[in-house]
Amino acid sequence: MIPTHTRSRGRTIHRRVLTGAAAGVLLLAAACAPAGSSSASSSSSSSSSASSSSGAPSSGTGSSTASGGSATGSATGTPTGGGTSGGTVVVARTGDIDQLDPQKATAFQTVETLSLVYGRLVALDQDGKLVPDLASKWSTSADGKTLSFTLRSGVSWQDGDPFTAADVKASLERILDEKTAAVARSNLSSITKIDAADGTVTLTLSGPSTALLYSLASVNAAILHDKDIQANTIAKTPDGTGPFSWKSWAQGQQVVLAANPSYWAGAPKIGTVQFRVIPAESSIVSGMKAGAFQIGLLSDPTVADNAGSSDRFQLVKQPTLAYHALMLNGRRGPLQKLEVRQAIACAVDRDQVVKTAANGDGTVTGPITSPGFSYSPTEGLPCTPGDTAAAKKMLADAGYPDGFSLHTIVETGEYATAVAEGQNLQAQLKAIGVTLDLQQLTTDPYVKAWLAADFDAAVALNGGSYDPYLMYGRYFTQGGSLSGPAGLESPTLASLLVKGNTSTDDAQRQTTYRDLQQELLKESPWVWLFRSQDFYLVGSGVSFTPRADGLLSSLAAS
Amino acid sequence: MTWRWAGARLGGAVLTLFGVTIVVFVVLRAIPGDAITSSLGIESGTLTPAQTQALTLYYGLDKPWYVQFFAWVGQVLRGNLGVSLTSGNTVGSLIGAALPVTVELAVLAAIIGTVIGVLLGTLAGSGPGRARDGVTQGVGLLGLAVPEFVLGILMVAFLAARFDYFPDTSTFVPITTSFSANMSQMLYPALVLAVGFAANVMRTTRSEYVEVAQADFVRTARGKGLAPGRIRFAHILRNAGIPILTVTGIQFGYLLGGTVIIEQIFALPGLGRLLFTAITNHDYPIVQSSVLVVAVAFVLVNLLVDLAYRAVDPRVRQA
Repeated sequence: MIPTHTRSRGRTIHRRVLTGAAAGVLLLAAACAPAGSSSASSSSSSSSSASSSSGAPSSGTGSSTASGGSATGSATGTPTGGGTSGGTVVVARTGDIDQLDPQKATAFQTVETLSLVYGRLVALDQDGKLVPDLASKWSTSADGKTLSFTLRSGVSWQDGDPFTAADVKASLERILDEKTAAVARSNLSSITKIDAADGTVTLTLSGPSTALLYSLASVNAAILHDKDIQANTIAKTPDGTGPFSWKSWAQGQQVVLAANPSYWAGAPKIGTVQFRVIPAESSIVSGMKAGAFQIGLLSDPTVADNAGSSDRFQLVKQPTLAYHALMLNGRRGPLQKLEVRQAIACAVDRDQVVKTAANGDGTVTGPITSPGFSYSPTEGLPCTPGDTAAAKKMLADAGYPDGFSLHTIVETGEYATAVAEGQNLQAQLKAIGVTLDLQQLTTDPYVKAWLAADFDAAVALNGGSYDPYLMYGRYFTQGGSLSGPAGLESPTLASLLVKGNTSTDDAQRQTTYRDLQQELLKESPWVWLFRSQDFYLVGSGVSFTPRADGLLSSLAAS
Repeated sequence: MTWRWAGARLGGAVLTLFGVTIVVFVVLRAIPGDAITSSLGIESGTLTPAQTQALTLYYGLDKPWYVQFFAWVGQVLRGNLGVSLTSGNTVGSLIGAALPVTVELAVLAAIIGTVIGVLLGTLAGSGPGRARDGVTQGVGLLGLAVPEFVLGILMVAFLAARFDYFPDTSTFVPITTSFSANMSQMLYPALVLAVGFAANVMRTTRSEYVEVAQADFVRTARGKGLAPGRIRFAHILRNAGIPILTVTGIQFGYLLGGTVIIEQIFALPGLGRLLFTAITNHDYPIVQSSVLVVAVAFVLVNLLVDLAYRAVDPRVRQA
């Protein structure tokens, strides 16, 4: 997936206000609950509102507990869960999708939903490895400048038309057209020519790029129906080739998808996926307890840890590709000196940040977060992180024995841990005489200041990717689109990135990207802190495996 | 009712609404950021100039604000509330779907709150200083002090833990379609909203009751040997009615605000939810038109309360 900054799933402000304040209340209420009172199995789905009323305790007076949970499920007669074919899985999340055009999707909920509806040329598996999707196989020419795809035959669109090479050509051309304002355009800009023949598509590139394949696996490179592009109905009626077909969207309430019976890899076992919008995370927990949902998506560590696991559901924590970092602007003041940046990077105890700011729910990380490129998170730093004495000495040697202050921007409202991270970093860096002047900004002004590199330091949550080049190419290559906020230009970093991206040999890419990680830590343009976690409440009987990129692909298992 | 009175009221209402539209329009644009940044985040920095221009045109941000304002007002007067910037749905259809939810929630809460409030207030006011007065007042104070979101979350958690129940709001069922299904969605949130409402009504009822109960005509009525129940409801409450009505009217306005939070907790697809999401997305047409609808509702309620005064109090009718 394209690194899309901070599109975390709990992107609304109220969520924190509501759930944070009420976490204690919830805990209290949960403690009062009769343990193990739920005799019903997790077979309650709420697919029909009329049936739901039958399960309601009438005005809450004197209703027995025994019948409560099973009411809706038994009324509809559809067993749910991944184990049974044709069942309904209700997924509760805090936000709704914001639009229907996959090539323009940035909001997490939209990406998550449309990924199940639209196919791409290639896909990424659990570990970030490229696997076939609409292209059954592909090959790169010796000079890396020609990429040929053999398309799967017998695939059809939701409306019944057959999928053809012309669809692929039209879809990619739509992305490259500036007027579309497609998110993936800059990642696909190395494509200079698209040839579609019967069952094959050949891309001519301006230069070799392995990241291109990863970009093509994103839902932002979704293959659309040529007919829909011509008719301009992309943003209105989804029509895909993915495992699920589009059924309906009631804005602010729910999105309903149905298993695609003619999906090329076999129809999913789950018959219907119903995405419900439950804005308050505490209500998601309550709904899971009541058996109204089969999967609950949470992002607030406090709520998730309070929810825990029960006989109805299990709490699953999944480290994400996104990472938290203190970005330093190496073009300003003392930060221009390598030793100063290194001293700051050395002074920060990452574990302490995770414990105090994220409730312990985080994995300390280096720059590269992809499970396919796993290296030591600190190798390359000239010290042991958290060694303030050494850091203070480095700062003194660099000419700043008394320290200095940094104008530090913090984003509020987008994710739960930002302010706490800023405050903890402030306390830790005080030990070496560096003062962080924290300025809290709501999302829009933060993004504007961030893009303009109008900061000395920025507490940031940046989106990750399975491909290291997609993560850092835009920051640290010559003319990268985000080289401003990156705060540092380094020919070494740029050449390592280009080398990694142009090499087709897997072993060589591993070495190159390990060097890149170490060089990033050595140059310390930023202080990499930790990968956050997504929290999934998974109902018993539902087979579901979360992924680092947050996609719900395992719902499509046939 | 005089025509002049009605005319003045109506003119005032129109002016108020016009003022509201201007304020909302300007304040909305004073919030830092725009639809492009809020939908694309840092990706907005990677757009080419041509892409930015295409998006600016798409979101209608290329014209100065006053041109946008009059274009919008003109459309509204023609009955067109605009089109959502994010989803492309018409604002009219979105509000049309959301408004009944919020109105029903508020009305239900107001009815429950008024009934409970007047009953408790009468109970407390008929025995000032006694134990039942203290207990009722204490409960009322608690009702005022506990915020709606805490009560709401407690209610949801309680229903889930005790009854294995979570209100199914995936599809809103209008009361006309199925009373029981509708109540299963609306009763609990309305109860939560009614608590603060009832507490306010209760306090006003109590103090008015105590005051009126000491009036001469009440003593006379008692002297005549009228039944205590008749004195209580036909004499004291009738005369305590106007302040209670005023409080009910004002509280109803606050209820519309309270629904925003309650709709979040109970996942009800009401106007508050629509508005909240639209503000975070910088979806101007939705925000402008929803606020306008809320303002119309507020003005209407005030008008109705004024009319109700006349029904309750003959003195106002003659004034």
